[in-house]
Amino acid sequence: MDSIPTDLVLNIFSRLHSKSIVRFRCLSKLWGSKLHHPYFTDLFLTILDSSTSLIPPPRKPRVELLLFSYKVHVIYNPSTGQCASLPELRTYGGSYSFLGFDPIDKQFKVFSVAKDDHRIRTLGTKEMTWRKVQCPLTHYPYLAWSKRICINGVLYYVAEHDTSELIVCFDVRSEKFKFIEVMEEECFIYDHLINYKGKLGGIFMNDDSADRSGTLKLCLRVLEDVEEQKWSEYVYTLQDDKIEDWYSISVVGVTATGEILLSKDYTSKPYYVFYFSPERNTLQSVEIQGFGEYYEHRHSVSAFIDYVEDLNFL
Amino acid sequence: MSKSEKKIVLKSLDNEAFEVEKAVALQSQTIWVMCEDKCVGNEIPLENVTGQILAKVIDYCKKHAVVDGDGDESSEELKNWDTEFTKNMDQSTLFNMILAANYLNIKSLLNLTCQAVADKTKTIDEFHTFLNIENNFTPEEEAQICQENLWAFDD
Repeated sequence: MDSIPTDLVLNIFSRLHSKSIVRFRCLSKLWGSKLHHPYFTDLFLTILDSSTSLIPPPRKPRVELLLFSYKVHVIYNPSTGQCASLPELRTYGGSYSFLGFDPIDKQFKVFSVAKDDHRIRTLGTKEMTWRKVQCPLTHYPYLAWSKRICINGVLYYVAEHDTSELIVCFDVRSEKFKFIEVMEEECFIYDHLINYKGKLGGIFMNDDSADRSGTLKLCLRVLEDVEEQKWSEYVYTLQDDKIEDWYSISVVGVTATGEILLSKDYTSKPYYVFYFSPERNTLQSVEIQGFGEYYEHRHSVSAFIDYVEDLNFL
Repeated sequence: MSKSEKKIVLKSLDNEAFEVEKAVALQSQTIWVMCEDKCVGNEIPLENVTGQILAKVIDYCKKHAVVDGDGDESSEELKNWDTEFTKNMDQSTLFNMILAANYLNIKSLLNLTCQAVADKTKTIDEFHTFLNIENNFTPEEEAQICQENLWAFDD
């Protein structure tokens, strides 16, 4: 029997549930490593985006450009539907790529972090090479998209350094680094970075009460001062009968009006997303319809904050 | 390409000939390039695809060509047709369909068949068979991976 080329098998795997993928890391040593590789994890995110996105394309997206990195870097412009690929960047041992925006010069930059070789290039210029960026600290970013965000010209991402975690602040304009230490017992707060009214925020949910249904506890930390590494912390208790269990709900992000959007991880009937306003301490649930046959089996749901505001148009 | 050449003959690996409308065949990027380059006559040899599989690929292309042409059929209907199309295919047929869709470069068919395998193949053993590979983990190593990822193995 012939064998299927690797890229096709990865195409099949990228359509599976993440739980299945973790299980299939037991297939063999070779496949185990392939399913761990950033190429695959990036591909997985891409397929997930295109197949389970709930909301129709926005009329006026807030995201101006998107970066996909899979062997080559491809820049996609959702407004025009155009995409462009960047000259190849050869790295050894894998790299992690970020798209940052400098609001002063109004320039996008693609920033690639590899073990000891960080490279950057500005989009829309005739730059022929990926410029080298000096970094005082060897660090390894996490792959998860929720652990990276660009706010007001600063790219924040969670990374590993030695055995500890830190938040890297990379100024897109000056191309300089700052680092924020993360206490070991606090690292879970930075699982999801958010833009909280222009400031960096970390958010996480739990519930320590015995009765799991109907309530959840939301912890929010906001970085008030980068230099002094001063954070303010808020804890909210959210109550709604439609919250069945807090552990099947995820943070999507913060809307432009400062509401925190939460969504259920899997399709259900009825399916809800929740808007929480920390200012007014109000929780509003919105039912999302139109899943059709996808109700029958559990399908995972991805929600995107930049699109979500278009719920108003539905 | 002159407009009079409306039909094209596709010849499979096992020498089975299929006469099809050009519009149907040209959904394959591979065939499109071949025609464009005029490197073949009216008969196109497809050395990687058997007649049995090619017949199915042509069925798919016919269905999708018609819809693109007049738009009578709703996308919902087409989706149902696609589901039915792959529903009763066994693993080996799907395997060969994926290879054919890849070779012929028909992206929508490749997506459909990859999705069908992803939906149908549930267990590790099924994937071992499908990929024709063996598990080279020792039982201890395998147990350790399970232990580290208990949440994924709990059902």
